Amino acid sequence: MPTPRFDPRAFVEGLRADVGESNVSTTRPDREAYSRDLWPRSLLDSLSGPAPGPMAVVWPTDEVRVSAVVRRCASAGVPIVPFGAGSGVCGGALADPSGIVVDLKRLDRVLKVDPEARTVEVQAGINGELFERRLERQGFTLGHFPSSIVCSTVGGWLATRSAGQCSARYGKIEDMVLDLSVVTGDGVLRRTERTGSPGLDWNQLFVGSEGTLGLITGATLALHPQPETRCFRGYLCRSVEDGLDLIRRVLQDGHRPAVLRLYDPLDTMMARQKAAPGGETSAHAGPLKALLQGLSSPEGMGARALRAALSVPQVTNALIASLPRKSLLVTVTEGSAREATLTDEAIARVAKDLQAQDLGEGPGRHWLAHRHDVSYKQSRLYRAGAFVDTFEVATTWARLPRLYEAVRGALGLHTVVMAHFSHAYAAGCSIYFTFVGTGRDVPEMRARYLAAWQAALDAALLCEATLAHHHGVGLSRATHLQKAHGPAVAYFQALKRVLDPQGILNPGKIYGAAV
Amino acid sequence: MRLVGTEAVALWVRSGSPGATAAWHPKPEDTDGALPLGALVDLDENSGVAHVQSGIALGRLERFVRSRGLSLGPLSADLCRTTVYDALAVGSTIRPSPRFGDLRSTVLAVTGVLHDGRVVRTEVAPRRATGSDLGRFLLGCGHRFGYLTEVYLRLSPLANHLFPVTVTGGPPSALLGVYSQLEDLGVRAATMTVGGSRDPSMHLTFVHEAERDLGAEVSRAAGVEATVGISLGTDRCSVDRPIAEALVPKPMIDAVLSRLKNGRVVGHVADRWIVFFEAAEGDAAVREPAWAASTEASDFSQLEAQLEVILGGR
Repeated sequence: MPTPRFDPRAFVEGLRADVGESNVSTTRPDREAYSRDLWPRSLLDSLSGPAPGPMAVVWPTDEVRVSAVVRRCASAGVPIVPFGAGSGVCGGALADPSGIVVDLKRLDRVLKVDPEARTVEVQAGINGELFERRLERQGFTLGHFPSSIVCSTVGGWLATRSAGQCSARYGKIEDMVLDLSVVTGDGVLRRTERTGSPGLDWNQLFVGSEGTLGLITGATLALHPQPETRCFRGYLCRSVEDGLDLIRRVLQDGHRPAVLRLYDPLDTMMARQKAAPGGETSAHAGPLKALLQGLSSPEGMGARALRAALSVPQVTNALIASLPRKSLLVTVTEGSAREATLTDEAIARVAKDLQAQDLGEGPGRHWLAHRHDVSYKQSRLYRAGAFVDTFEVATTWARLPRLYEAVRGALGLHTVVMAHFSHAYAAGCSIYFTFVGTGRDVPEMRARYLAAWQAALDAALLCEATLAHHHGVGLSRATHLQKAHGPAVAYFQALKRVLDPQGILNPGKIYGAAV
Repeated sequence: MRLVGTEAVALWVRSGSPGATAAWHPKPEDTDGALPLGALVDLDENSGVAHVQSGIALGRLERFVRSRGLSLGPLSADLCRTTVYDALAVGSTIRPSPRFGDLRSTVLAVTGVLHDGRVVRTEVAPRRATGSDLGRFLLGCGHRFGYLTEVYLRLSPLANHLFPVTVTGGPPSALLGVYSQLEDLGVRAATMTVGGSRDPSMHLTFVHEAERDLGAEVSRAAGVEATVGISLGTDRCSVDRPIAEALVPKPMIDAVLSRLKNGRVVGHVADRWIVFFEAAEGDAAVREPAWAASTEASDFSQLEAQLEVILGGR
């Protein structure tokens, strides 16, 4: 990691000259606010006191100023951590105390919508929700709806290979990008060629690079017309395996539903209980009722019940394994009225073939109305003395069952585990594990948390799965990713030498400090 | 030198001379009793994924996977001698399909050998998920950054029939407008060609008969002629190799078509309207298109040259 070889005060003054007095801060509240993202490990650490934070926070207002800041940092050897909206969950935006944070949110303009070509040129710092509303007013959609949409930026999506909740229809963000504007580590603003051009595809090298190769300042993205119609549906499948079979068959037949979301038995029970509190699923809960209540209302009695269930994860997981095997599948189809209906009918045919119970529109509509709720429960669980995190992996269909069992088993040694399957493609699918744990005190919680991660990453590595699907790598998976990519890391090292010769861009992220 | 797999290529690179590696090309056919890098390693029928060595001919691969009800897409039937290496590492032109994509979009993972002999592998995944897509160094760059030896390709269920419709009677922009309307309705053709000035027509084929009929209906509603054809068995589909190709943003299609005499649009990358052209004899002008100047892309060639030196390619 480069060591600053300068007078910090003079350096900050230089930054102020580059971007303007009001666009640089060294105040403690700002430095604390920008010390971390939403990586749960940082949250656990913060229970013991605030992180040191960066030397300064900078808000450039255009690409020229971004370039000036990078040049200044390169010449002084000062690390830069790029920052969008800070909703990352892997430590990708964790600040370096010897460096600065460059927040790109003031690059927030939609530069051009081309209705004929169906493309949009946009700056990277625009908020996701505001961007989508702008497009909607012009009759378009990007089709990218991550659960963090209200607290994430286009640049953050691109930097982490984000996926939205309608990825089955519109793809991941890398499927939408046509070209990029990037300020590389030498301070040069570069614009890539259109995706599909012959030769090395620089777009796919910058996408997912999490600020280690350059600061993405803008992009041209493909657009779609606003859907004319949506059809909602829920099915109760006989098992997770049946549900996955249904999804695979629908996608391999060439259909493009917007949402295909399958819950495992515990997640099914929670989802159905939320949709119909006190309904038939509650009767099946038995000893798990306390856990479910604790997860949905982690206060007072609920918190105590939750901690009790989480303190014996292997027992609780064994009880979960005895739940009815049925799995809820939520589907949403959209597009023209014709396409939405035809796709809905195609799903219904496969569901009938697999003897899945049609639950009508309710589950789909309920999911749409509450699709962001779960993302904002994290703090309540921490206050209740628990921790929660997620781990998303992906592989091909044939390897999926083994991966599911291996990672679930690994996490289940230390935490209570549930999973859903919400990003599927013709060749395979991702699994989204949610794991919740506790400990008698913060050090024990931290130890359990780290043990769960280590076991889960080892299991995914053994199954040759991806170590993430759409959350990125950051610091949370860096060591394992180096093992997973092996000699291919030589390509990344070469890119770093060419694009970031001083090694100032988000050091240590993705492959660890050694690379 | 008899090469039988990635590890053998790695050994060869470690002990070989730079001169020998400069001419490296995996071979699809047996020349002296060996079958160098031409094998189908594995077929995962459940996931629809073929694991192949890079020297395998696409025609041979297509014939085999068809026997199992799968296909690379309806356009590859006649690419007998084009290898996976030609198509992906070198970047030979293969006509893309709006419905099935281009061949590069079907790549799920790659294996290759670096110039120092180390073997690189990317995870087999439905989408790239972690970090930069490092496998791209082996796609479209020849062996500047290493030797592509194996690929995992996504397959599609074999369409037994293709249902054609020919649309005529309007300028290219009207024909393409029809196609845009069809896409908005959720219909993606298996193949799409739009002729130049000598053949002002659009030829579409669909996997489903109902889609063909809708294609005809939308065309007539738009005031152009539509002639519906009988279904074609996909075993009779043929593909001729383009002479030249270009990538053009959709708004410039009319300008390009007006310059083509015999060539035609042969498809586009799904959702992006980056069209591919086949240019015929007499259409050489399209090789130096005016629209090239309209892009503002930075020159990355210097960076690529530096990468090549670092990675030992020269």
